[in-house]
Parts: sequence; C-alpha cells; structure tokens
Amino acid sequence: MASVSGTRRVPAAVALLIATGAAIPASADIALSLYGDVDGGLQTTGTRTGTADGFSAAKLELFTTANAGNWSFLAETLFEAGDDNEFGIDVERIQVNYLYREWLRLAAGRFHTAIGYYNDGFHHGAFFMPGVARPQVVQFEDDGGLIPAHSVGVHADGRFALGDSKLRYDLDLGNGRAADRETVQVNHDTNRPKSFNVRLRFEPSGALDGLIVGGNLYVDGIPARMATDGGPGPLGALREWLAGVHAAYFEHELHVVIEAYAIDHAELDTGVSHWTYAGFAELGKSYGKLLPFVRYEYTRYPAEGDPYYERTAGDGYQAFTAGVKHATSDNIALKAQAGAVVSHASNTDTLFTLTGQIAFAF
Amino acid sequence: MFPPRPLALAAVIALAITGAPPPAAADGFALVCNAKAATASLSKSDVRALYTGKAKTIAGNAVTVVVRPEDDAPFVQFVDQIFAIPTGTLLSKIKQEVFKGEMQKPVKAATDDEVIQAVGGAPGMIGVVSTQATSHLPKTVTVIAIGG
Repeated sequence: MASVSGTRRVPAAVALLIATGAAIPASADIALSLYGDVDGGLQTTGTRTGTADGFSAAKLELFTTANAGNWSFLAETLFEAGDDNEFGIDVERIQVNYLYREWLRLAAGRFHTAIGYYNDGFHHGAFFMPGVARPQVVQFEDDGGLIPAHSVGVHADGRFALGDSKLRYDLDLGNGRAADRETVQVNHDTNRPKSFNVRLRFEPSGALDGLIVGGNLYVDGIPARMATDGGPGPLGALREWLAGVHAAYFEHELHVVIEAYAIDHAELDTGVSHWTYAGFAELGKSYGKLLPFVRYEYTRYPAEGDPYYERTAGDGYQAFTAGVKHATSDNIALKAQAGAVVSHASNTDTLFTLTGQIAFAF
Repeated sequence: MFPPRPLALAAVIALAITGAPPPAAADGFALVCNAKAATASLSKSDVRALYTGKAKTIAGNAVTVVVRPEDDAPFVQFVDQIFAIPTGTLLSKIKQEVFKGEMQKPVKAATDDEVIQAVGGAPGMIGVVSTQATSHLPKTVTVIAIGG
C-alpha cells in the first residue's frame, strides 16, 4: 500500500475530535456522513517469497456537506494509514460552491479534477464502486495513479440543452502537478504555469438516456526536480499533456465505464516527449442486490521510460479482474474479487490477487 | 397530480381477504414545490433530472429534494411512475449523487405534513405528497403538474 504523502500527520484520536467536534455542533444544517472500508486479501506469484496476505482497516472518511441557498460546502476528510501502519489525515476535498444557473456552477478549493468518469464519479469512499479499489490508471497520486486526480484552484461546470439532449462542460484551473508526483500542491504553487483542464460530455436523451460520452484535454507545467538522498534523480521542467475519452452507462441494471488516456511528459530543455497510453473497461450487470463485474486494464509506458512517473517500458501491464458486489443494506456493501496482473517485462511472474471488502456508508 | 393506478393483483387479493384495499392504493401522489419557485409544469424527464442531480435549479433556486421512507405509499407510486425503478434504487442513486457533489443532501420526511412543512420552508425545496394532502396546502406550497 502506498504511503500517505503530502499529509500533515496528527494523532488520529485528536484529529477525529477536531473533525467531529467542528462539524456537529456548528449548525443543524451541516450534515456528516461516514465512509470507509475494511479489507482482507492475498496476493501471490506462486512462490513463497512472492506471497503476501493480511487485513487492512486503513480508511475512515468524514463527509461533510452544508447548504445555504445557492451556496454550498463540501469536505471529504480521510483518515488513512500508510506503509508505516500509522494513521494520517488528508483533506481530500474541500469545496465552496455557488450555483448561478444550470449553465454555470462555480467552485473553489481542493477538488477531484474533472478527468474521465471515475475520478469525480466515485471519489474516495469505496462504497459505490463495484471493485475494492479504483482502476490503477485513475488511482490517486499517492497510490500510483497516472492522472492528476486532485486540483487546487477553481472549477466551473454547467449544462446546455442540445435539443432534448444535454452538453455538459467542466473547466478546472489549478496549481497543477508538483515536482514530486505524489504531492498535491494544496498550500501554494511551486511554479508559475497553472494547470488547465477542459472536459466536454454529451448526454443524449430518449432511448440513450443515461449514456455519458466525453473527452478531456489537460495541460500543465511541472517544475524541475532536485535530486534527494535515496530519492529519484534530478529532472528538468516538463510540459504535461493529457488527452482522454470516456463513456459511462448505468441504466437498465447495467454498469459500464470505459476510459482511455494518452499522457505526454515533454522535457522543456530538450523537447523530448515521453508518451504513456493507458485505459480500462469495467462492465457489470445487477441482479437484485448482486452486481457481478469484470474489469480489464492496460498501461504501456514509453520504450525509453517516463522520467516523471519513474517507470520503464517493463513496468507496463495488463490486469484482469472479476468480482461481485452485494448491496447488503443501505449502509453496507460486501465485495469479493480475484485478479491477475500480467507484466510487460519478460521473465516476470503473473501476480494473482484475492480480495474481500466490507465497505460502509453511514 | 397523478391518480392512483388500477388495483394490482396483490391489492385485489388484499381486497378479497380483508374487504378493503390497502391504503397505499387508495390515493395518488402530487409533486409540490415552494410557492416562491412556482413552476406550472415539468416533464417526467425534468423531474427525473431534478431527483438525480442532472438539473440543479428550479426557478433559479438550488434544488433540495424531500425524500420519504422506502415503503411510503405516495413516494413508492411517484418513483414507480416517474422512474420505473425500485424506490431503494433511487434513494441509493441520490446518496451517490450527494457524495459526488452533484446534489444537495435531501431532506427526509415521513408524512405529508412533514413534506409540506419542509417544502414551504425554502424556495428550492420539492417533494411528494399524497393527492389528499393537496386539498389543504398552505399558501407557501404549490402543486407542479407533471407532463409526459
């Protein structure tokens, strides 16, 4: 499990008191919900040294909302344990929103970048997603994901009518990436260029009502990285381009999410580009409370490797997952899934995984 | 206002056994909103959009929907006729849209009077009441006709 980086660590009990104490008595209009999950799993390459198992009770999330007319507030505060088996606190989302009309809603704060469907469709609580975790390409920055999952800045979105159908737009302007890929620049920007993201979606009506088809374009300037002891080597400033397409459909008991990305890290000093291609397809169908699903993931790093991700061509992979989610109650979901990760590197064993999860939402 | 549907088989059986239809079948439902956001009519598609976060305003006001218990008769009829899905599925969908930030957290109400009180309290509130309740609505609450 990846460590929680960019996090100001405080004792968990104190943090819990701060978070709940600040939220509950302030106003009757403030709503607080709890999300989280408890996991158990096994992974193996078929050898004794390649086998690991264990349990995880590493996430507790306080989800807070408040409304006042057309103003609203939302915060997602996550208590998460990292590789050191200690809880840290991360404010994953903190947004102040103003709704002007259907065609314009403004938000400021830290939010999930409007990239693809998964990133701002499922957020941190695992309760709503069929699998125990996100597809790897859309994982969060400190869990090895490829996308800039969080933005700190301003956001605008809205919908326009296209006949009976709708066109939705999302715009993000933020601090963008840090030199360290796991860090979200929540306090200040370490370089002048800002990240800019646009997402457009077509939402048809009639027989295709519920279908979402969209695309993204994201651009950012990434500051140069200095060498650190035991860490990655120095790296010049980069220009990041991310282009993506996605489709989602959740009507008629179906669960369909498909996303594909091309991501370029271009070295400003030399002009050399490093293109990474990744995507996934997740398909399921509900039968009462049961949602069986399958997921396929693919990631290909450039032949020369990607200096920002610090990945070589051999780190590319295909992953296959099959699982089932049982919506046990309004508050509990039970999940089980099996997976296989096939590395692009030669002479690398396939990694098999078995995972169970109890996800809660109270 | 939506009139009650013809008696389903279960209701016919109940009628034969008990001599009276279940209360749920005896009344229809109506969609109501705050009088400051009075809207003469909405299509079914408009109503679906308001209850799933795809539409966020009514007469320029941020919408907050009032939801009723999963087995509440007027609410069950409303969800069945407008969404054609189980009530629990809609409530789960609303919960997810709130988590996504696409909807304001709904207000919960168990009775017609509670719905009317909530809807009358803020301009962006909409809710579902039984047809009977529309005969004594306060001036702060008005009925929205639902078109095709």
